[in-house]
Amino acid sequence: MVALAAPGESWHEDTTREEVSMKIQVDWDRCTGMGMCESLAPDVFEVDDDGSLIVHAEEVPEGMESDVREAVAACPTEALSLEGE
Amino acid sequence: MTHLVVVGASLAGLRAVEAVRRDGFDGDVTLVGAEEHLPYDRPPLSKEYLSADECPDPRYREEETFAGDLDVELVLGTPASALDTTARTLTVGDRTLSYDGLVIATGAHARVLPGTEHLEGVHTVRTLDDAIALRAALRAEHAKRLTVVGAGFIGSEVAAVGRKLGLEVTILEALETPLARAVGERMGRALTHLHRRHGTEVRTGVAVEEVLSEDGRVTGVRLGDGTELATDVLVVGIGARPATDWLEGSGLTIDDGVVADETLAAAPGVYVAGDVARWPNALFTDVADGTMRLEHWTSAADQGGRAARHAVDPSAAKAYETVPYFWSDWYDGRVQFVGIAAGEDIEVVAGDDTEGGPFTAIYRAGDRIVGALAVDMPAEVMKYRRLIGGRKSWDDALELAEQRRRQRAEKARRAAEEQGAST
Repeated sequence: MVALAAPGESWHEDTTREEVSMKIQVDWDRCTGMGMCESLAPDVFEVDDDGSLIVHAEEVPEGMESDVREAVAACPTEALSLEGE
Repeated sequence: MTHLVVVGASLAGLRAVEAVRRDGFDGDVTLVGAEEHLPYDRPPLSKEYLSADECPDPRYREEETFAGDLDVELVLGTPASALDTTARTLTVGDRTLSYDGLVIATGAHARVLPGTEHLEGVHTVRTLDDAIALRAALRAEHAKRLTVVGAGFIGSEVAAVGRKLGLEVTILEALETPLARAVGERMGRALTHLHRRHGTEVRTGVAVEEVLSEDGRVTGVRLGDGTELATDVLVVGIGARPATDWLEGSGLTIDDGVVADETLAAAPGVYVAGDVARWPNALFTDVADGTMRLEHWTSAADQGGRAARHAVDPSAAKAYETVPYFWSDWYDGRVQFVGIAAGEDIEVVAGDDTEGGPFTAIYRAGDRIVGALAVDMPAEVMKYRRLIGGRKSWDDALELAEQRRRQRAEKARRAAEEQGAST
């Protein structure tokens, strides 16, 4: 199973605790460029004209933790995950 | 709140149990499923599961994940048969489960052509067992001709697979324009071009009068005008009906789905999610009347998590609104739609729809952009999805379209330059 958030942590709201840096992982075999991630976190994810995914940041930018988590959870092919939570 | 019961073990049900555990809910969780199978991924069943030489395992999680990480009791293989919202009990086979919070995510059943259920060679595509049977039928040596009843998304995907496997394919559609309800008349015509371009015959405005058979196996269909079409495989893709029969007498309001309020609540402690759920989507109540029921992967996933959170803590329940999104893979291309196909004011903002694409079209209702459709332009619709979700104006949408046009032109110019430099 894809680890999405630490146990007990709220899914939707940003937590007040200090975030350790989280790396965005893409399973390129699974990604089909569906674009849910782009609609939820457009500064981080973008689908290119040929349908391939461009990830604009290796690590989750400050203040975008909640958007990126939602994007990870919304991926229909479970191609996205976060490392270092 | 000590016991959450989730009835329906597909995507919405899975997301329901995962969401509350992720939030740290430490009560008991039970997941009830009518099928023997562990929760599995449905979208591929009408696509690559049928066409790929090696069929991938469609299960979302291993059994150990439910017993271990998720600590969820699985009750699989028997459908729920009754609900008592006063006593807060659910009947599953000979078991009675008491709940404090309940999520109903029982999905929908494929509609069938009455009287054909037991004929060999007649298939629907809804469950994993359906897909296993159809996969074998399409690949059987004698299978040369495939007839699909219904030009909806499932039927269209199966038709595309049939072509890929080298079958002769005919689609029969009762309406004059396929998919008119889902994407509007003009875009329905545009999508039909995709079939014709790939050698699939599409007959619209036709009625299937009778399914012909010999020795218990389908041999063809007779149409309303008396024409007979021979076929080896018949796929029925005429939609789905929400699985609500078991709720008769429960006191819940049933009207093409279980009717819920804006927080997905159908009764105290009872929340709905996925294909079975009908609720007022506040994002569109100003442009489209009443409630909506969606049969999309994204809404099932989203509603599953929301409904379960609300069920374990009703005091924190919030209105749920969403921009619907669905995709469909036809031949080598992808059809994507976001929003709703309200009104018929449609503008093609990129490409050309007269030959079936690639193109992008946007939908207007009042002063708002409410929908966007793209065929083989995967970079486009999600940009409009944000505008739709933000209740942006039609002018904002046209501005984005213009910006995208400039970006594509600039990209093409640079690509041409590079090409020139390298030769």
